[in-house]
Amino acid sequence: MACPICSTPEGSLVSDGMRAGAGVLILVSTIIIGAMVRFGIRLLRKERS
Amino acid sequence: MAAGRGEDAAEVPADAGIAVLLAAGLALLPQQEQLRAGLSISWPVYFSREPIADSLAIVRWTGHRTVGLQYGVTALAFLGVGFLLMTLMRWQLAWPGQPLPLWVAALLGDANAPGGIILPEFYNQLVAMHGSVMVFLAVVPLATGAFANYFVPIQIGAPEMAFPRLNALSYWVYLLAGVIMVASFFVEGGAARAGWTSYAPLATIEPSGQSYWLVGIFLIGLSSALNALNVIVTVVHHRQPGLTMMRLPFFVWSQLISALLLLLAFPALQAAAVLQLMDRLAGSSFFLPSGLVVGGVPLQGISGGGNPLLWQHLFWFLGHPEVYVLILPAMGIVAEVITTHAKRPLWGYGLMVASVLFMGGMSMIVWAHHMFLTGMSTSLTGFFQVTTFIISIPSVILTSSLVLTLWGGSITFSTPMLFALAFLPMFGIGGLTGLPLGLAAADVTLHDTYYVVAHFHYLVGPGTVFALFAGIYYWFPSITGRALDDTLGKIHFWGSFVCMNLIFMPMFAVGLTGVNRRLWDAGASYAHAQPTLQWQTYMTYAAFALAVFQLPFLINLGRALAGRRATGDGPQRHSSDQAEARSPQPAARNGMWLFLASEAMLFASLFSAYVMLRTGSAEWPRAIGEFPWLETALLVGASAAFSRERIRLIVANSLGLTFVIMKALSDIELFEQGINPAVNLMWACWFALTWVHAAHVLGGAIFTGWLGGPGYRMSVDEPDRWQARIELTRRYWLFVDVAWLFIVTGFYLL
Repeated sequence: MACPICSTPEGSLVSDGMRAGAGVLILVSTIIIGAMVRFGIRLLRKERS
Repeated sequence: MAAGRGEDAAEVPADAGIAVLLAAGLALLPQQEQLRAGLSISWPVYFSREPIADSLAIVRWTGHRTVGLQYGVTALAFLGVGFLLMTLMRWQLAWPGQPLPLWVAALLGDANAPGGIILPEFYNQLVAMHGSVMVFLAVVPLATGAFANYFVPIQIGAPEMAFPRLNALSYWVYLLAGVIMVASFFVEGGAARAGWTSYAPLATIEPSGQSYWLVGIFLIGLSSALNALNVIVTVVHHRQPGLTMMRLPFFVWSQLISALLLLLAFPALQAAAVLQLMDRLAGSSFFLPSGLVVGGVPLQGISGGGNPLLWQHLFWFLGHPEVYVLILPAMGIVAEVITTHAKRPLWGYGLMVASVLFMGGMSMIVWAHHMFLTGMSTSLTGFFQVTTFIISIPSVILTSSLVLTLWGGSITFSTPMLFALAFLPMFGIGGLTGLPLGLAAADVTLHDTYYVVAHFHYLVGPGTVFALFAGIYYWFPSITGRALDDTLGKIHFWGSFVCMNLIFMPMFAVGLTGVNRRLWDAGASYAHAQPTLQWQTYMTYAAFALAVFQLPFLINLGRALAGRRATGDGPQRHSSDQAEARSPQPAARNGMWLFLASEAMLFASLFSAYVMLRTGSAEWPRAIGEFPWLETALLVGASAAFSRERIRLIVANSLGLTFVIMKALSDIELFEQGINPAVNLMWACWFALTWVHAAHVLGGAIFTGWLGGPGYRMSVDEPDRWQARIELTRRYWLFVDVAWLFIVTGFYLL
């Protein structure tokens, strides 16, 4: 059963907003953590060589 | 930059952190006047007899051991403050409406407790400030600031932290934040009282204590970033030759990942604090929905249309990683204590390192499991349920590894080992009882009950705090050269262990009965809570007994400090020659990248707020005016002009300052036209983003001005450091440009 709040046009908009905003945060975090993981891998490789 | 800093520590008695606190006025000891007068002070105030020539010199003390001790002693003081607030709460919950003893009532005053009876408003302050003080001012600074600053350089063979002055600054900013937060008890309306999570819109309409809380939180974020950046760069760049990353002590790994989490997660709460401050002071409506009615009266003078859940997203983006910031250093300390006292190497070191790395990364994407009750969409709920269950796997690996380390060991049950061993089942209880909360269906029933209070206190109280006590008992002799009494330590341990469980275990039962965790009277007015009221009384007796069992700890510390130096001189200081041999430039470069990563998270958080509000609005006005070509040209021009020549530095400084002045003038003009953050959400977002951005431009312009002015002498005296600063500042300007381009693209082109 659809949520009685989310299924309204306003609720749907708010829900879209949540997804978009949280998505931006997740995306940026992933990029920055990815950059750090890349740095870490390069550091480990350098140490092993 | 770190080169040669080893000498800084040698100038000052490393353990003079105690004196710093005294000089700061946080402890009233009889020798304070002597300290001010610059006289030599004798035991028990100091760990050494060295004279303090100038009490103002304390701000220049940058040695990592000094800063670590400053953090440690201040955090322990705040732990005491948080504990005192808790005892008042427990009195109220055990005997709702009963007057406090007369002398306590007199201290609290009629505004908070008329006739000794705690008012609901004051109870809310106690709850909010107990959580805030314990998490932000006591446990996290103790776990990271104190232990990391003191022991990470020692364990990796570094003579000093990478950026000692930044390190000292992080302590002073933390102390300032703490004083601001606690001082809010004395402002009109009292301290913050919307819970340690400060959920909007309740927090937005609270008295001025909430603003103090927000300023304090912003400063704590700044302090955490400076400290975290230091720890990361120190570990990456200042290890002894041959000490590879995979040979680092697990304690260092735990501090490294905690620092990364602090660095990347705290900016979200700083952004949220800025937005809530704007809601409170500038009339914006980031977290205020339309049609809000307060006390039966519709809220006037605001545009509305905001989203209270935005606050929750931003808060928990920090709030959840903060749990791992507490737990990981605790595990690192426990690993140290267990390996020493079981005389065994860590079981599965590689697996533990992999787990801690995985846990750190995952902790950034589990935050919304604190928000299942908000009615998120099923897709978001599903995502966060799955990530929450995934993150429990490395937790189990870490705990299992610590237990397996004991296998076949020759165990010594000294005080630190008892605390470390107790950590394991306590953390286990806290962790396992968190699993039902990770499922939305179960969480709906349990979330607002005492069950949650019991769950997270098992993680933070008998979990993390026990690990911190283990660390204090374990390292105290090497810090001070004095031994703590084991019998007193064991009395402290067993009393704390029993009392902690007597306090928190019944809370699970009270929560499962369905008693709400936010009730001023512990549920006395609800029929279903009646059978649980007697438990509240027992829990309060246990809490008071817990306070009594902290006395052996204090006596132990006092006796040890007053006694004779019995053990060696503590950890050996490494010679500063080793520091000189290393180039400071790569460290400074990576330090700047980390700083920019943190700043990127700050802008990303503000930008995600903009995206959330804009996507969630049925109508979004587009009448923002013409594209700001001139401002953009000024900013790009400042970056382009920036170079090592003095004239170009002055040009860059002038262009940056002109940008800020133009921004100020255009905002004044807008305000005169009646356009301000209260008009609508679009303008609120515009002002928030551009004000934060302008503050960054101003910072860059001032520093560039310094480089072209008084600091230019460095280009001759220390050309290498000069070149490093030029490169770093250029990156900063580039970052400021990119942030501006994102802002104008979002507002003018999309």
